[in-house]
Amino acid sequence: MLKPGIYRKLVRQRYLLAMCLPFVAWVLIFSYTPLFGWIMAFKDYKPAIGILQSEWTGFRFFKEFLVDPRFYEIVRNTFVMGILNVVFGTACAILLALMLNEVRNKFFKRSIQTISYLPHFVSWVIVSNIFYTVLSTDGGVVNNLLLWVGLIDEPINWMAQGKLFWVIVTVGQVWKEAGWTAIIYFAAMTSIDKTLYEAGEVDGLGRIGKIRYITLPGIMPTIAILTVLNIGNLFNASGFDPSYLLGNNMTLTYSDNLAVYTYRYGLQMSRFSMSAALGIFNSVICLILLFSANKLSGKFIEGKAI
Amino acid sequence: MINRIRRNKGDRVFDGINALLLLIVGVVTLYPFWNILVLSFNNALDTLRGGVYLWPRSFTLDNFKMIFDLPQLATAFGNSFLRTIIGSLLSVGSTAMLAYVISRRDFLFQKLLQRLFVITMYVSGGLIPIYFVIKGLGLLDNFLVYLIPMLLQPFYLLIARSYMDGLPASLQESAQIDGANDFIIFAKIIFPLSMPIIATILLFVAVDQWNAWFDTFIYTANEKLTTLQYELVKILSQSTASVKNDADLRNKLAGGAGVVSTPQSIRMAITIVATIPIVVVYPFVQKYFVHGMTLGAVKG
Repeated sequence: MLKPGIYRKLVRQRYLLAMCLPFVAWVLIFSYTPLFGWIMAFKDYKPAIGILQSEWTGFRFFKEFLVDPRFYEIVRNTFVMGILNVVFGTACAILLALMLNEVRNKFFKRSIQTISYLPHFVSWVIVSNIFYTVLSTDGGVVNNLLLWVGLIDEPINWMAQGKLFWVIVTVGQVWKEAGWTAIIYFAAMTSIDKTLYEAGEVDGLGRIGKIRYITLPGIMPTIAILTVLNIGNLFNASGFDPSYLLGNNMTLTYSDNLAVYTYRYGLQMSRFSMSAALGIFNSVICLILLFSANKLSGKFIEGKAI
Repeated sequence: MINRIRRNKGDRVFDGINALLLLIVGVVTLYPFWNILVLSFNNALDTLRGGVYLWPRSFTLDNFKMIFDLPQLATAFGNSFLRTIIGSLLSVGSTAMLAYVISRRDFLFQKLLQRLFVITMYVSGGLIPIYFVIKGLGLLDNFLVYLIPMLLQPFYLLIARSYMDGLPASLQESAQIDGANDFIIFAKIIFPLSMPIIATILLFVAVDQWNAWFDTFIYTANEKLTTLQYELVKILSQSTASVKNDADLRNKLAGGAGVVSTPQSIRMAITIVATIPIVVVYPFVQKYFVHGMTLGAVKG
């Protein structure tokens, strides 16, 4: 029933169509078919009898995790680690970019930049290995340094302190990603009009004054955009790898987040329906955050018009 | 502007403090890697005495000899290497081609196509439903599980597309007039012109592939398919889970031909082997990815 014009266009664009079709098939299979798996959350899924034959359970699994006290612990961990990551990640990246922006020696600047991106490219597996090594109680650098300075009297087993886990994971995130995130802020700083600084000089602004009245306002739009994106991503920000790899039996109360919890239910305990229900919960929270962030960004853009 | 600014005393103090702080940042970032490197070259039993920080106290290659003798590590290295090479070439080729189609505003299904991929950035079926799809396709315990599910990522598609959007339209138009079809235009004109962004994405996907361990963990049980990162996860969780395991492994390790190592030192050596390729490659591609990152941030 296509109009002849469209049909002709379709024939003309047959190469484009052929170039994208395999990938359309790919995205349907790997990203959209799993969405049908959500049905699993409303059924008592038993692999032996298949998804269609399994018994309908309605919201039973949702009710089950909503009354589980452990679930609230998990949601708390996910939010707290996400917020800590976003707040300290952003603050440290901006600070680093500001400091780099003030360096005049090009070689020094480049070297520090190159070093600062490096941890972004290594995996959390390696970062965790590094953390377990430098924080170790027998001869770890951090403990020995603190002993030497006299801040502590005996080595602290950092990785076994549940309460310290949030601090450790945040330090890990900042150590790994601050240099990388700083790239964007630094790029925003280099595009600030140079004549503003000259005008500031004339007005008697010092270095700190120029940072405060010229550089920071200059990168405000970038900060606003990235903050909105970060809010949309808040619930995923803590990630599976840091919690799972840095966490251990001693820290479960503080380290398990929703991603890890979903994995434990699904693949460790084979409670597939429960795991799928948790997956849906995660997606719903993410979408709510995303839409709120979008609303917020609308406000920001209006505000910027001033 | 910088040279014209007068440098007074306050300025110099500011610069000094700033440089000092950045130096500390540099040391804090690099030193942990150095510490691991030093420990990996230090005699394992000597390491247990602690206090090895800046240079190996008792230099040895035993830890590396040991890991190269472990049969699963050779397999793991091979698999990590293969998936990185094949996987990233496949991904970057696919990403570029699809990004080109999405960048063609005149394409009949352009909007639909772009939405189809952007939505997947926000909605996911979740761990278990994806697991069953992979299982249903027969990809469990199959090397292809390292290549196919990771083929495309919407974020990379978007940065490739925004780069292609910036290319001059006249080149394409003149090729069209010459009668070139769309695939030829992509392969002969767009692809070569997009090299900076393609290099960036190649680096990103290669790093993703090299660093992946979760897929090995959940989709494979066959030891022939193990990867370097996964072996490292295993040895990490062994040494954090219980100290008894440590002793067991230590006894096993002490057996071989006068070569001495401990799980801890083995861990250091594997960490170094898994880190070196990244450290070696990445300074060379730096100028590309800084550009790609800023581009992605603005448009993505």
